[in-house]
Amino acid sequence: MSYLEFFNFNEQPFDITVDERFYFNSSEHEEALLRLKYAIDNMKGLAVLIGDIGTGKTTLARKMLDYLNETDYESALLVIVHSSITAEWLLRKIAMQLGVREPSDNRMELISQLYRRLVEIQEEGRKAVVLVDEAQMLHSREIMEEFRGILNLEMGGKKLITFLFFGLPDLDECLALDEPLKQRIAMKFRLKSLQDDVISAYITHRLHVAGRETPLFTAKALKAISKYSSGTPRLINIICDNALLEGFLLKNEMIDHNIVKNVATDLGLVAIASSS
Amino acid sequence: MDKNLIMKEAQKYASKGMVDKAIEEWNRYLSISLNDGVVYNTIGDLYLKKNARAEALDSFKRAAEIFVKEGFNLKAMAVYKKMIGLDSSMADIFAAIGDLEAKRGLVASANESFIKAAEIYTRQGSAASALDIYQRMADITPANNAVKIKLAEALIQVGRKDEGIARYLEAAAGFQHEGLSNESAAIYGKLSELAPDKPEVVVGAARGLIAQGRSGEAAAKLKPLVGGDFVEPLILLAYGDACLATGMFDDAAKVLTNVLEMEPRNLSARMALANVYIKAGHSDKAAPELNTLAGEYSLAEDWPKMEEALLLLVSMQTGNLEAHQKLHDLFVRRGKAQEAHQELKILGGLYYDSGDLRKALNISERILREEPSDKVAASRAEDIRNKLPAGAAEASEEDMTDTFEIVTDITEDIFDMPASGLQGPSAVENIEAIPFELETFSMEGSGRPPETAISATESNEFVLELSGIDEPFTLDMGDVPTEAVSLETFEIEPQQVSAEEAPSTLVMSTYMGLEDEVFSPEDAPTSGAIPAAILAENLEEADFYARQGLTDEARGLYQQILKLAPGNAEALKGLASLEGITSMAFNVEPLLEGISEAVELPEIASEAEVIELTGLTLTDSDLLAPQLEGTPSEAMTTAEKKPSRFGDENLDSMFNDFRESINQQIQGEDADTHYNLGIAYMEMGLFNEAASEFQISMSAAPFYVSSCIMLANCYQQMGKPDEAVEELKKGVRVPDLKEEDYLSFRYEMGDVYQKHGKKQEALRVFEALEVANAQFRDVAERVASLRNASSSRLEKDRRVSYL
Repeated sequence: MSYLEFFNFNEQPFDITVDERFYFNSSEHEEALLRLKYAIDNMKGLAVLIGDIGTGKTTLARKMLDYLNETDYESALLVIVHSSITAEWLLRKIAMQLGVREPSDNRMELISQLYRRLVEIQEEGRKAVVLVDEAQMLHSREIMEEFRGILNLEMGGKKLITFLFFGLPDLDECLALDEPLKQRIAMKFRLKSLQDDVISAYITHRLHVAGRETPLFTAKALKAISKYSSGTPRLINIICDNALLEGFLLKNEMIDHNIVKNVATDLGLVAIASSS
Repeated sequence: MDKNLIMKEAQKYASKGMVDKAIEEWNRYLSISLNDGVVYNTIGDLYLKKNARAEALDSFKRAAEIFVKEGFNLKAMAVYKKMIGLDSSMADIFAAIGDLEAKRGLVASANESFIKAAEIYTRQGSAASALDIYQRMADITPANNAVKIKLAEALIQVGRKDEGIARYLEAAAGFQHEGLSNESAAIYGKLSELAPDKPEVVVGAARGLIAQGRSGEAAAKLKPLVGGDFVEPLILLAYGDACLATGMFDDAAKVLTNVLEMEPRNLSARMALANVYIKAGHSDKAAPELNTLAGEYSLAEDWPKMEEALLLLVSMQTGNLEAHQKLHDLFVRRGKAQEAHQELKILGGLYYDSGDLRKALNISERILREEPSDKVAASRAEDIRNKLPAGAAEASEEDMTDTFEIVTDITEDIFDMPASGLQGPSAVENIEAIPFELETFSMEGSGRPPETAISATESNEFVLELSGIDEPFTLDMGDVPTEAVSLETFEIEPQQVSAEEAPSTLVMSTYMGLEDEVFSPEDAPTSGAIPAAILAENLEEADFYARQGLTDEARGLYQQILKLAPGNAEALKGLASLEGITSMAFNVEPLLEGISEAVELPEIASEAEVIELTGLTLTDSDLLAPQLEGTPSEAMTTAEKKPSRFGDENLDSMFNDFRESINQQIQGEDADTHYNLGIAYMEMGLFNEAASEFQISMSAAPFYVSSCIMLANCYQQMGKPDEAVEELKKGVRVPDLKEEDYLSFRYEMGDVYQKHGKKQEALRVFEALEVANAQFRDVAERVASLRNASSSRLEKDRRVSYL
């Protein structure tokens, strides 16, 4: 009997890869989405979402991209995976993603192309939006200045583009590299950890999506998960996933706090929780 | 406070995962609307979300109680099932479910729930509660012997030994009645430990032995108990039966006579005594007992028993006019028109033979009105008219009604006959008492000598009387037409039959109501015996009816066969099996034995022909024995021949058998209720349970299509799209599916694919639907949306860039 059969799952409930079906609309995330949508629809220029590791920033970025349909928006998601990208490369990529054909190698020409494209989008009655995930990796003043430059593109007193930055708290430092840019932040939201009762609902939600109808974690286990994860969704997922595997190996039909504690110890989370 | 506002607030909190706040709001709602089962159920669900099981169970229980009170039993059942899903050790909840299922008429499901409840109570050591549950099971399945066993165990466990024993006795008797003698014996084995001296136990155990063919053992066990001054008649009766089965006729007669001295109206004893006499060859003694029994049963209005007694009587004394009259009237009373008609034919013959030509004519005319093609009756009527003076015949016709009343009057007298203690005139005496008018006929110059005035329905006694034989009972097989009888028939209607086949063919076909049948020469008898082929054919037909459960038809045919071939072993066995009367097991053998001992078959009938006639060798008891599986006591009823798994195994296996059979029974339960229950489960989010219910309801054709759809919905909710699609495919395959239903199934299929992210599959299904009917529901929109999604997915991928 497999892990999935043992617990009556149709699929892994705590896989850490982003899957929109598992999206849990906590009040925290709902509020974040509402604020970001407000920033976009009102062409506020720059909005920033900051959250600790595993709090669901990437999930929200994907959710936001889903929201931006092609009819009303010209959108792009830039996922920064390398910290050494240059301002030119970034500008070029933004231009390409927004539909600039045959982008020029000349920086000034490229900016001109981008401007024309943004005007075109606006004239189509659409809005240009660029989402940047893992924005804390853009630790360069030139890049920040480049963003400020693009944000300065306006027509008729209205901004032609909106940037949404998703990043760790370090993103504040990046933004501080260019004070004028920092001052242009129209909306900033900080994702908090999930509260105890929401953690329970979050776990139940994921179990349900995976096909499990009945509770699997004891009340004490849930408390332990809350403690060791500090309410961070990704950690919750990791703890739960490991706890289920442990439970399966032990043939325990319910996951109790002892299993959670053992798993958290192995993951090095017990010490962290103690110190905090 | 505005209820709607509170509700909206509660729902808002719940949707945001703020469970405590949501519960708080719902509780505020309940402060306004006290008895809202749905809200209690919702609160239970919220508690469940925060893993507060105890609180959830409390809320669910409250919800279920409110639903029950308001009559929403299906909803209540669904909530209870939800509770069981959380804690399967709650016996009271299983019991509550059982009660609701019983209320809905789902007896098998109720028993399943009750068994779970009882088992939990038993494990918990709560014997009184377990007893209460078994009592509930007994209430809904009063005839179930396995339940009675459990109830008995439970009663004994709580110290109510006498009641427990009574239940065991009921179960043992029930199994015995069903022909499951080994199961019955197993219970008596248990009872022998519990109450070895109780007469019912002793007797039951003995009867079990008798039923198993161990009559000798039964007699040996009972013998020491029958010697005292006062012995329970029950024990004496059992001993009598045991003696009878082992061939100890004198002992049997003695002990049964004792019983009757103590209890003159003990009909079982009297029947047993009649059987003893029959078996011992004392038909002269048996006849008055049967006559008395018929009277007693008449008084008690126990018509089947009365019929049994009379059939036995006429099978011994075919010419017993009074018995035939009673039997005719009984058949009329019981609405057995065919049998009554046959009896009428016999009565016509008997009156004719007795010389009461006016009555004979009257009956013949009545037969002809019921069956105009009856050649025997027509011939007889014509013959009588020729014999009677012209005025008398006319008077008969004019006074038709009066004449019928004569028959009726006689039978009414018979039914009014005092029964108790009566040893009315024996059948032979009755026959002798009938005015004999043959001489008168002769004197009146009918031109027919008395010795040849014998009809096809000849009375054996009459033949004997004419022949000057003193012992009337030695010709009990006399219904087998003699050559004289055959010749007589031939003389009446020479044109109807050939000289070779005339005698018995005509007689047999007349009695069988097969006058119009043309029998092949092979069917024709080579002697005076009943044509074996016809007999076999009719036996086979009767057996067929019996196997098909057409008991009335089978019984009628067996009885007809017995009238023509009294004592026919196969017919008697068939009849006994049909009636399910244990005592009949005793009746088969004695009659056969009596026949084998007493009948002197015509010399022209070879042994082979005799075997062909009855299926048994009547002239050789050694040959008879194997047919009946050994000694008379080993001649088992059909039921006793059933294989059994029981030896000394304990009684639990019987209950386990019952338990195993429950699931099968559930499949056959009311589909409507299971379907509605499935809907209730779905409403509660219990998709597993709902799916189980729909799987049951889909076994009923009217619910198949809708059950397929609901089952698919369940699987969809359970995140099993492939199973959902499979169910929908089943629906599509239903023959003669309406176009609307077909499109619905296809639509649902597309919906399942779409909801589970299988957009390409969904698009394919909806595109096909669009071709079939673009106006069907929102198919066009779905196709457009899926096409967009398909391109936008590519678009989304294009929009993401990794730097």
